[in-house]
Amino acid sequence: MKLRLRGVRLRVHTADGALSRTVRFEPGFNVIRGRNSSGKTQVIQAVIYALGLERMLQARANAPLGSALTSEVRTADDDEAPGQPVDTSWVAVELENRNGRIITAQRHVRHERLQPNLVRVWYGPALTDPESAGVPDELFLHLPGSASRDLGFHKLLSDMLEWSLPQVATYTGASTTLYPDVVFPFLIVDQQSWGSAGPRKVERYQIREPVRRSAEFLLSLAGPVAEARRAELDQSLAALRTRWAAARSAVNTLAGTVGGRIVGVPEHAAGAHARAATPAPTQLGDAELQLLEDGEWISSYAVIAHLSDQLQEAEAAGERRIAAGVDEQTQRELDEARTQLADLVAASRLMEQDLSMGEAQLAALDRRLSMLHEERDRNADIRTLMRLGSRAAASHMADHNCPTCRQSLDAVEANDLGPVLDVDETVSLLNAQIATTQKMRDRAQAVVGQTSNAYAAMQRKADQLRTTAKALEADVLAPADALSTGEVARRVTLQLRHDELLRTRASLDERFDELADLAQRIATVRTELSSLPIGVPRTDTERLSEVTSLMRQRLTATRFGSYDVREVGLDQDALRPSRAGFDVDTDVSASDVVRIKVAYLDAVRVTGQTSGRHPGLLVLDEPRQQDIDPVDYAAMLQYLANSTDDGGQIIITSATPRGELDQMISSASAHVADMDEARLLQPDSASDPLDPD
Amino acid sequence: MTDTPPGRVDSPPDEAAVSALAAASVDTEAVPSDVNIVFRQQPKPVEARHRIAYRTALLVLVLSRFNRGAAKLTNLHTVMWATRSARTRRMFSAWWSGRRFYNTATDRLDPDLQITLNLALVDGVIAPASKGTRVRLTDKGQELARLIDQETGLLAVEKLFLGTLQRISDASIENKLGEVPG
Repeated sequence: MKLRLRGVRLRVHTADGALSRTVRFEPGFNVIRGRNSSGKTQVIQAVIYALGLERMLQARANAPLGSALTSEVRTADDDEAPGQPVDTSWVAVELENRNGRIITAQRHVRHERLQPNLVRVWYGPALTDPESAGVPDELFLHLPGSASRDLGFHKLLSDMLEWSLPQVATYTGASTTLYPDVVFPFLIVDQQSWGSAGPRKVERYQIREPVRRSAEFLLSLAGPVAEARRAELDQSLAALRTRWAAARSAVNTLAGTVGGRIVGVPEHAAGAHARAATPAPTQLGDAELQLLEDGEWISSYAVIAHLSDQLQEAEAAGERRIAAGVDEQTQRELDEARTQLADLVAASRLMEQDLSMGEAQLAALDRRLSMLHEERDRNADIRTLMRLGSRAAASHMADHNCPTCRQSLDAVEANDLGPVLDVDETVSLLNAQIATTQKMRDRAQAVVGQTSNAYAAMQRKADQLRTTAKALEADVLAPADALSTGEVARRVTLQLRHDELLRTRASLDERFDELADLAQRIATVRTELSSLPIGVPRTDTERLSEVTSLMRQRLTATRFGSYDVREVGLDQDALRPSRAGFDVDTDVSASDVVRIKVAYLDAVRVTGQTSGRHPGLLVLDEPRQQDIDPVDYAAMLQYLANSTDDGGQIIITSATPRGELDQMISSASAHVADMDEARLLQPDSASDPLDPD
Repeated sequence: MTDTPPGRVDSPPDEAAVSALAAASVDTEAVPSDVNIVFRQQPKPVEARHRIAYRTALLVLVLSRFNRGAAKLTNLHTVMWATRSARTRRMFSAWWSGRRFYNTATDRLDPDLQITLNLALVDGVIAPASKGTRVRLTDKGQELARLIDQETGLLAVEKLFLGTLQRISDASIENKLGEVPG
């Protein structure tokens, strides 16, 4: 047993004095007995109201209580006597969880100051031991956060139940908490809900399949948890894939700015797509920046090292002065720079042609793709047009026959093509062509990207050579012993390039770290995704079989008569009682609906209490409905009483006369709270320890 | 059409040819001289714009965009031609907006229009108007046009293109493109 009700108290203040009633409950099977209209239902409704669960009954949070608590109350036993207006009224319920923690929750129905969304809570047995009542805490209800914040009453209720409320999908595609008032119809059956074999469906939170979600929660089914986790992981994998693509694009752009390219960063990280179940994270050890030097892609480390060497050499050589007469060294360097420039310009022209061709090919493939898409859409339209043709009586569109000679129009369409494909085959062919063309386009795009990088690198190199050549030309004409400007220009160029590459590599290293982190996370998510169970886990099947089996035992005991008990099962999708293909609410007699409902809820209680999150509590407001046969009703009371032997608490209300009731319960142990023939609310002392100041 | 050589039109059944070839592979000396090899054409796709259903729908759509649902045949040829591809749509838009000069109508014909008109005429979707120089949509044609308009995704590109040409009529075409020979 995870939660039990210890008692409930209803209290009303009028000008004539106070009236109240306390009903105490024991562990096990409890019966609240009283004649019709004695107020038994008010006791159950008071429990629902005190726990802030009235929204499970109706969408608006109105008090579900009768006029005795809301407007006027008769203080005398005389039915003819006029009622007294209610000044203030409240209800309180005392709960105990399996750890022995007791709380008393009080909620006002009518009060000048204390609003209905305020719950006063004593952390002790304030109802059964009023002397122990101290100063209550004030908690809130029916406001955002009431199930999640520390001062929210439903957070306290969930804590008492040791429930961690899951997130579930709504109709709008968002997710929301599975609130206690959605789950409680499995625990409390109010008198208006006997028309259906399943528990009340609480739709106010727009939760998809609220009954199913509640059953899964109470029975701790692993399948839905895995399903929810899978959706969550899929979502985070999609986000990681996007981040990977963005980071990869950023490093390529960065490389492009220094005329380089990136190698060793794959388009997709290992595990981004479901190819390997437990992928090793993509290693980025080989990821590096490469630069085009003399027509070859060289590692940026080698280029930077080479630049450093050149700078050091220049530093060691010291200042260079122009020699008198013809400075041969300057002339040689100038010739060399001019030759290199000429070679580079020639090579870059070829590269430019390649680039233009690549871009033209890309544009052609884009046009081709666009045409193929348009053609496919037109073919897809033809199916719709044939349907519209039949609606508008344009017969040749619909039946494809000539309206005059009734011959097929195939030959007209095919003209001299020979055998032709039909529309569906054409769409398939076009889809295949689109896929192929798309691949060709991707390839062309990659080639254009690389060529464009190489071209930019060549242009940059050519610019450097032009600067060097110009400075050397100036040196050739400079007077003897003048400082060599060519040498200065060369040093400045080397230094700038060296520093630029160092900065870029530092930025790239940061990006590579980010990519490595992403690769690690992608692989981890994929590994967890692969480890999730597929289909319905064995434990779920076993639990649902147990519920079905217990439900059938109970139906057999109460002589379910609409058809063979073995035909009643659990709908695997809705997790509520069903007979294959039929709605049990309309397919069986009204009394059998009651039999199924009690059997189902008790079966869920027993199974959920043992191996799920069910608190073991079941409250049934007058299950003797629809003239159910006394023998069957007795059997129902028997199994309810016996099923609490191994823990749990069941509370029912009954109008059955005491003698008959005792016979029905016979040997089973039950605690009967007999209200005799008296009214529910009886005169009481003017003050109560739980009354507010 | 089968691509058989002349004089080999009466092909024996495939089985005979196959068994003859099988025998030939075993005993190369005994290759029969009269083995017929039959080549068959693979079925080919028909362009959507040659499909009758598409053509009739396009004719109805184009006519429905004309003033009073009626148009001269020459103008129909031009507009139907214009809907063919992205290139023709761009060209037509350039003429229509006056960015380019429309010089000739000789290659702006829709060769399949005649058969489309015949089928639509017999089916009662269109009817001759103005003593046969124009065609107009009948009530049945109007109904089909309404159904096509209701399906938003249907002929979306064509609808968008025709939507950019506001107020199409014989007069506006003659005005913008000059008198089309016909």
